[in-house]
Amino acid sequence: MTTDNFSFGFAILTRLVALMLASCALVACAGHAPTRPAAVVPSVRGHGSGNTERSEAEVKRDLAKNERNTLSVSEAGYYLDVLQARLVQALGADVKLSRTPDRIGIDLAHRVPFESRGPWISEASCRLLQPLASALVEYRKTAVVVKVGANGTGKDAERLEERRAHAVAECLSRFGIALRRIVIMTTPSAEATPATDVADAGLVLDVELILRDGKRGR
Amino acid sequence: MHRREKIIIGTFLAGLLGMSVLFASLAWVLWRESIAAENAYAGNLATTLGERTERIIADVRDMLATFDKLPAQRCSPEHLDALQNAAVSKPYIRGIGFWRAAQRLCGVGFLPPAGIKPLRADRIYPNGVIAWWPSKQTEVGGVKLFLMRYGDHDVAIDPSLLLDLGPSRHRQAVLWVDKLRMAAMPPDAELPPPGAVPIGVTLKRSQGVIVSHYARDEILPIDIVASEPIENFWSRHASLLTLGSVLGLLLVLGWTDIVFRFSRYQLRPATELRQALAAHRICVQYQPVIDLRTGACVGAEALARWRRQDGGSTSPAAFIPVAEEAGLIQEITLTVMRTAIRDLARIRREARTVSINVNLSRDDLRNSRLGDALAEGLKAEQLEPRLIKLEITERALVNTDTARQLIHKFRDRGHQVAIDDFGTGYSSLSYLQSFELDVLKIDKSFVDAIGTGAATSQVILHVIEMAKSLGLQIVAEGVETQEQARWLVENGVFHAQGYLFSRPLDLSDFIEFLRSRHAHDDR
Repeated sequence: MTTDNFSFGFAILTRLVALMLASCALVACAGHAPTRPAAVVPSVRGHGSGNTERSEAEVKRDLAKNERNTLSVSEAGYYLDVLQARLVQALGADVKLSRTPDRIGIDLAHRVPFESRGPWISEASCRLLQPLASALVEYRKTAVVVKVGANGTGKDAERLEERRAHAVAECLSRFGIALRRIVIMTTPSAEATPATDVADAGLVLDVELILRDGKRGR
Repeated sequence: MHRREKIIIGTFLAGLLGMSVLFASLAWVLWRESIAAENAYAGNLATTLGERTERIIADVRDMLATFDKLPAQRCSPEHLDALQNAAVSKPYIRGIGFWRAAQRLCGVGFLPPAGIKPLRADRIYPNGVIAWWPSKQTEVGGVKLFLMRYGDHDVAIDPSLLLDLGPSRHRQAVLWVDKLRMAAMPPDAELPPPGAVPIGVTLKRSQGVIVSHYARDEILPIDIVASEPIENFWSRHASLLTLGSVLGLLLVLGWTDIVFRFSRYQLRPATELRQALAAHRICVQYQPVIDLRTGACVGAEALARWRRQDGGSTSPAAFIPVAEEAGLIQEITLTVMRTAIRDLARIRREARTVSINVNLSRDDLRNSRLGDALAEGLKAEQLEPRLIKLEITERALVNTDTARQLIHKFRDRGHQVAIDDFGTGYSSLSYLQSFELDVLKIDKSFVDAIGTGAATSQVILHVIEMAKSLGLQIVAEGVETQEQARWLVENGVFHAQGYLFSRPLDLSDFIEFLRSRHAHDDR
């Protein structure tokens, strides 16, 4: 066995151990909550700060580096129309959609409930997102912005929002949406008020078009 | 203007007015019916087209839903076969495509390989169906296509095949969906947009067309605007118009007949006479009866006179036969009798012994109506019955029990009864004997013959003898000369009337005549 072979074998071993440890951690948590934040996390940015805007733009710019993931402005209208119809088809006629020239907002409040005492969503809730995720997988020239509301302000509330958003992102990724397409937005911390840890906190997904040269659609 | 002219003009005007009103009413009804029929026609057309369009959309949507469930691998020959079969089975389909998001991967039909991607959908239905109305953006080969997409498949439809106007070649129609011109027949049809035409049927006389507009909003908001020449409109409703014309003609004929009959009725003398009676235009004149020995006026014969509105008068010889034929003679007798009774009150202030003779007709001797009225009238005026004498013509003197009883009753009450115009009939002595009579009036024709040497001049002598033999008083009628008067006195006839003494006079003139006669007597 040469030194190179030894180094290679050691590297393999250390990765296996790390993988085993990670697996153990996952198994330990499985009894407590079905879905937890993934090891590979999406971009996390605060709502409304200049930094957030730049970071969201950065994500879209990163995605736009691959031209196959982008749309020309002239295609934006058609793309959003067929996406909107697909979302209606997937989520039903009563889904609340809001639309701007380059974005469709999907209001999932009350549709996807969170665990009442934790930052996770149940397996059943996650499955509710499957038709939506399947549609978004197909419409890959978009970024998915996850917004979770919490009934409170302050650090605790912000932390809860972030963890819940992570849970949603994780769920979406399980159904095929690349994590690099997902952006998590949280409310910036303000005066500290106790977070009311309720299950029907708001969940909104913004599906934003990735336009070439960062141009906005019509 | 005379009554006759008034009636003729009135009849003409009534006929004209009636015909105008009838034709106007008929035209109005026909127009309303035609408009209603046209409304129904346009409505049916729009409904048919709308339902057809909606059915096509529902069919296409169902078809698209089945494509999403096809087991075949997408864009495989099996998949494309399925699309091809569907396209062939529906003639209005121009192409079917399979898409991955906004990328057309494969398809069948006559569309560009990249498909059609309009900038904006016109409608996204709650079931996920997207529709793009025909526009420049959907134009392929000069045909503006109607696009629908559901799931991963889309369909292009030729909208001109949605518009089927039937056999009317002159009719133009445009199908509007959501205020967008979707199809037209013929393709270059120039019709106003739905917003410029009211719902329903509008007649545009200046353009010579009738425009119908019908709106429907079920699956699609549809407007149909159609127009056609007015001649077509009329020809389509020809059966209704023909029926209406026949009906109108019958109505007009009926109306004309009614007007004509009414006019004829109005122009009948009997009707005029009836109206004259109602309007109190039957008046009474008095012809004095003179005692030839003293020259005193002892009585008068009440004669009916018909005063016309235009101031003229009609002779009794003309209207009495009409009255007898129309059954009005008794009314005339009653009118004369009542007038005479009323006038007697004034006459008696001048001469208390003057009596008035009233002529009776054959009808008056058929019932007791006149007798009853006479008795009531005299009682009301507190006059003695002897002041009214009753004259019955020889021809009216019918030998019936009723007549006999009535005459008997008149005489019982105190009236004298005279036989008038004696000699004009065929009464014999024995016939006269069968009635209770008081006076015999010799007809004017016998008086005229006095002194002429004619054959009839000898007959009067026999009449006088006969009257004397029956114990009747004699009055000669129609005395016009002194010779006649002298002859009558010489032959024992002492009472006479005629133009020698006086024409028939109005009441006031008769009273004046009485005064002059009494003054003459006084002298």
